[in-house]
Amino acid sequence: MHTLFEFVTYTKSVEYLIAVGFLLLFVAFWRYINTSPVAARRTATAPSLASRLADYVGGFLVPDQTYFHPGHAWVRAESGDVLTVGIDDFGQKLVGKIDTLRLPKVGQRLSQGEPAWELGAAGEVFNMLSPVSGEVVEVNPNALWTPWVVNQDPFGDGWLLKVRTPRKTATLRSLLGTDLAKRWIEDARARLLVQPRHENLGRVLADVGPARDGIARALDNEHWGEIVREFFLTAEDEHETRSNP
Amino acid sequence: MTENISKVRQSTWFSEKILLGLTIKDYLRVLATPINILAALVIMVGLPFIVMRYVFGLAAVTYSSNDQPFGLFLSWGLFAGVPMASTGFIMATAVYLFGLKEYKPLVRPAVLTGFIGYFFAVIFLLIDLGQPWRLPYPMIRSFGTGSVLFLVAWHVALYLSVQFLEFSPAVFEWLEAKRLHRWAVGLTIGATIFGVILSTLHQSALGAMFLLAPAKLHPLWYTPYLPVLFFVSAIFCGMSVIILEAALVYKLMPKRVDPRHFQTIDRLTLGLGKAAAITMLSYFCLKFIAVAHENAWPLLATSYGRLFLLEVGGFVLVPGFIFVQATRRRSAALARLAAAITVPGVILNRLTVSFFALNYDLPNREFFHPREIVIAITIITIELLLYRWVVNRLPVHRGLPADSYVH
Repeated sequence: MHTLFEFVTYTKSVEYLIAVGFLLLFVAFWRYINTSPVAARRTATAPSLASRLADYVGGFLVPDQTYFHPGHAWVRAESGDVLTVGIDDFGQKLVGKIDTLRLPKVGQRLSQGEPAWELGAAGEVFNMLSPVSGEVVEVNPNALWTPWVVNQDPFGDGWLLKVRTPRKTATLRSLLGTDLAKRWIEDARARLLVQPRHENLGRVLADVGPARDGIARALDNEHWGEIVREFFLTAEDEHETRSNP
Repeated sequence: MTENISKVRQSTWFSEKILLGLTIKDYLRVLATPINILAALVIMVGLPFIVMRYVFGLAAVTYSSNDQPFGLFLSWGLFAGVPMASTGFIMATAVYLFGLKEYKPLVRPAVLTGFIGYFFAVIFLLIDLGQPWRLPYPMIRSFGTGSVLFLVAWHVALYLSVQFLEFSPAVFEWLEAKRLHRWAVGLTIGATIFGVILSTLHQSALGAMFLLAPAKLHPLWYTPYLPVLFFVSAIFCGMSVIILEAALVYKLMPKRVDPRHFQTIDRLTLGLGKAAAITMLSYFCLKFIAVAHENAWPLLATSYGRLFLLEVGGFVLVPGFIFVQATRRRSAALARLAAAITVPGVILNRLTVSFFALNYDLPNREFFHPREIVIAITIITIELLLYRWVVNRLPVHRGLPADSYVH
């Protein structure tokens, strides 16, 4: 072996060099493939981190320009007389990973305060109340196929229905605006503290991301369904129709 | 009277399930399309050649010999067909073992493609081997546990059965056999795990077969890494096949697809494209590690070297790069383009390993026999017709998971 070239060739160092080169290349490749020019453009127009953090109340997202129903559904105005409806961040964190969703069909009429859809989590099924009255014009297929999209992005990809309502302004006025909703969520958080096993609450609420098992189960594994129904206003002793807050 | 009622019921069942709700007369009328007529012509030309192969022997339809052991039947049907049929184990693993449940709409199409792919690989094998009644011989009668073919025979037979089990929920749904359906769904996880073990082993076993002939295969392709290379390339090949298959079915047979799937297919295509890009980068580097291992660098300047560079550059690096751009730009169309280049690339690789680069230094090498090509086209036509027949009837691209529905 006289030269470096021969040394590299005969000791098969090239194989190792390619392998090491591959690992280095992979780091660069991974960064490159995950930085999308499309995503960068989106981020540029997205609200700043500071304003996003301001949207959190006690670990629960309460975004601007969104209206809330006390049964933990949200409403957002679209163009024309259409409203988008979904489950709020508190609601999804309360139940944890949503396994199934049973949504009304397109064309079906909803009444504010009446049960409108069902969600299933950890073997329990919960009714949720419609925050608006009107006719369903679109159902989110992603939420039907992959209900956990509601946990991942409750105010974005996890929307549930688009509803056409003739009295859009009056409907929105009957719901909680962002400022009121922030106080209401604080109150809801305080109500969690009076639950019998609230000693777990600090740990549970520290998890700002989607809690897999849900806050209610972490609080009381046996009676968690009752806790959820209490917050969703669908507990058995509350049969009367609920409408305006 | 009871007889008449049962006759009517029977005819309704036949009409609903087999004739797509039409009468025999209407069904035959609907069938008379230019594509179907062309397919019928191809089969009419090809079938006599298949009969000829069984009557007059292999020499009547191929140039296969001891020097050229694998003709088009095995190079195309088995070596190229099996990686294209890796769709089933890839999607079943992703959804049932890795928990990527959003890909669920692609599991049934992928398992069906896998099943049909393997089934026809066996058909090609039977045409090549002849004497179909001796098919079980390498498995039970005169098996050699040291033989790679023993491994391949058992794997293909077992995996074909496993894929049928994996697809059976769709069959039972079609037949409305609820109890059997429940039973088949219960077997899914077990069948998937068994399927992953089998397919990992036999995708690589096809490569391992060439380890028996180190002197015969061109050094640019011969490498002890062949089993790994075969397995890794089967992964991105399968992903590309799923991308193309979904694109074609959604375009050509939109009525057979659940309308909700149209909104998610682009996202799923991009996910598969990204995974394929990552696998292809690994494969690209492995290919050069193999060249370094054999120290075959000088051969890159020869004509076989140009073929090697075409295969690795034009059919791995280029589509891999397009997959990356598709991911970054969120363009499902680009991902489909990349997939359309990737699949022929893997086919070229398998044809090269089992045909072009095998016994490359012998004089007087023959190309494929024209009759062999006609037979291969005939089998591919039957394969496509079968796929279309099943998709038209069974819930392959339709049907929601039982736990999510609209009321």
